[in-house]
Amino acid sequence: MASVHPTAAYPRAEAVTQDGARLAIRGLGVAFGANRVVDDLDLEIESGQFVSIVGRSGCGKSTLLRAITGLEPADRGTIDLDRGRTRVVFQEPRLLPWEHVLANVAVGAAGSVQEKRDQALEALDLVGLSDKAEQWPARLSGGQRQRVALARALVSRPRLLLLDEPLGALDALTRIEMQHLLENVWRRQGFTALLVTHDVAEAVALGDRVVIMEHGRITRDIAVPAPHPRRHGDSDLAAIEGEILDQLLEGGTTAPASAYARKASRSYLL
Amino acid sequence: MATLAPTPPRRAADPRAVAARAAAARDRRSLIARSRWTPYLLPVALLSGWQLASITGALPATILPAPLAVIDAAVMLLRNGTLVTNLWVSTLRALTGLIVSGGLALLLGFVTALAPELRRLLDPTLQALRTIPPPALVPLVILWFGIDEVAKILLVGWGVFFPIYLNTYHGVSSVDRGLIEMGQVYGMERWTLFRRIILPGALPSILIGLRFALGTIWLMLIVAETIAANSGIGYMANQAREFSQTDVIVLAILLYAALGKLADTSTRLIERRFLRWHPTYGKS
Repeated sequence: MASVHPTAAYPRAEAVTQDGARLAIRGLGVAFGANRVVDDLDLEIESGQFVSIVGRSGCGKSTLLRAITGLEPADRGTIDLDRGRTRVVFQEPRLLPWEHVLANVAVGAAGSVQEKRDQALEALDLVGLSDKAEQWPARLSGGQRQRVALARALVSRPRLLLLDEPLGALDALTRIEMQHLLENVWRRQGFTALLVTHDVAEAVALGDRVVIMEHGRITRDIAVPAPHPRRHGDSDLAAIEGEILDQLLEGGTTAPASAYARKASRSYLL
Repeated sequence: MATLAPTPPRRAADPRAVAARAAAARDRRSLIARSRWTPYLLPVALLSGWQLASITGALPATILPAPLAVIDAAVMLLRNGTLVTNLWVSTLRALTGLIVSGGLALLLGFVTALAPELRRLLDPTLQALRTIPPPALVPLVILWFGIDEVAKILLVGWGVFFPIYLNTYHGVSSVDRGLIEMGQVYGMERWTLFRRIILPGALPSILIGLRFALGTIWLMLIVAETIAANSGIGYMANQAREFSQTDVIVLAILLYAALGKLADTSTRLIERRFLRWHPTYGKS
């Protein structure tokens, strides 16, 4: 059933249908030539947790995500992913322009042709776009395309969902709608989520934890204790957002000492 | 010093009159702009003028035959079968050259774009061969194959190869890297990646290559059939020259034009079918 507002159909948390992957990264290093983009990075994510990574552009956050998917080879360290499928939502929708919306979603599915079709329809329904199944991607708006990309990622019931600034190109209102949609499907499906963003408000609105990345390392790891679903403009969230912004603005002028960085990466500050 | 005549006071324009004038102008324009017969005006005028000049003797038949004489020639050649035979022979040559050489060009275009080793091995040589203008090969080809079918197909093939090769190569190399990356992350096998991402992504460019190739195909066919053949439309025109049959010569020219148009229309249809998804081509 398609609803006008994509999130209206799921007003509250339902039973989690599966548990997400557990991710453990230790001593990860990725270098482009002499330039160490990810440097001795540690990160652990519990099953089903939603973790946001924020940082200035060039801090290595997207490279970290690409290293987890295997698109970027790591030259040091280990990435332990206990089981199950990993799916990615990129900043651009990356839909196949020559295939209909339904076929694009089915790219992520497995099984027979009929099974793929059914799963794809279900996933399209989840993002509120079942009525666009037979459309060409070129006919959709930017927000709709990104919802199709999300459906393609969700169709195979991933245990880990990697989101690489997926809402970066959308207008402010569509962004907020998409954040609600993401929060709802995450709560429904119970996968582990890792969101890279440069929007601190978004990171705080969605994440159970917000991780700050600077110079290829994690310099802060902040828990966001507010329960889901969250309201936009909550004052507790705003306080956390302010704290993170302070750190990011300060961190832009002075590089943190590595000892401090390692210590901070293990301590939850809230 | 010239004195300036006082300008008459401007009347305030009556809005209704302005609107009426604009509507009238629109109507006058629309007659020419909107009528479906407008594109035919000039050709009809030219043909009538031509026919008139021929009838009055202003244009002697040894220079240019009357349009009706060309039609007569077409009917005559249709009746005795030479037109159909020659048309068939020419079309067959064009198709053989297109399929053999075009297929090879497609294959090599994909291979050089996808495999860096083979690109290093093949592309510089192919680029060097590309600089040879195809008609320059004619003397050598005649020396080797005489007026054999191979000669014509070789010349046609040479003209077809490079537009398709270059545009396939370009099309494959300019497929969105992000889509290929997506395919890899979503676990597509190599063949699936090719079939669902690389081939459709390169198709617009390949079809442009096909269109260029179809343009040169007729060019090369004319060269080959005029110089080294004993059948085909070019041969028919060349024979007619010996007997000063201007009507047959003009007919041959028109046939080449019609074949060219036919080829162009078929690529357009192919584009419309296979590029339906493309905002520029898809009009459904």
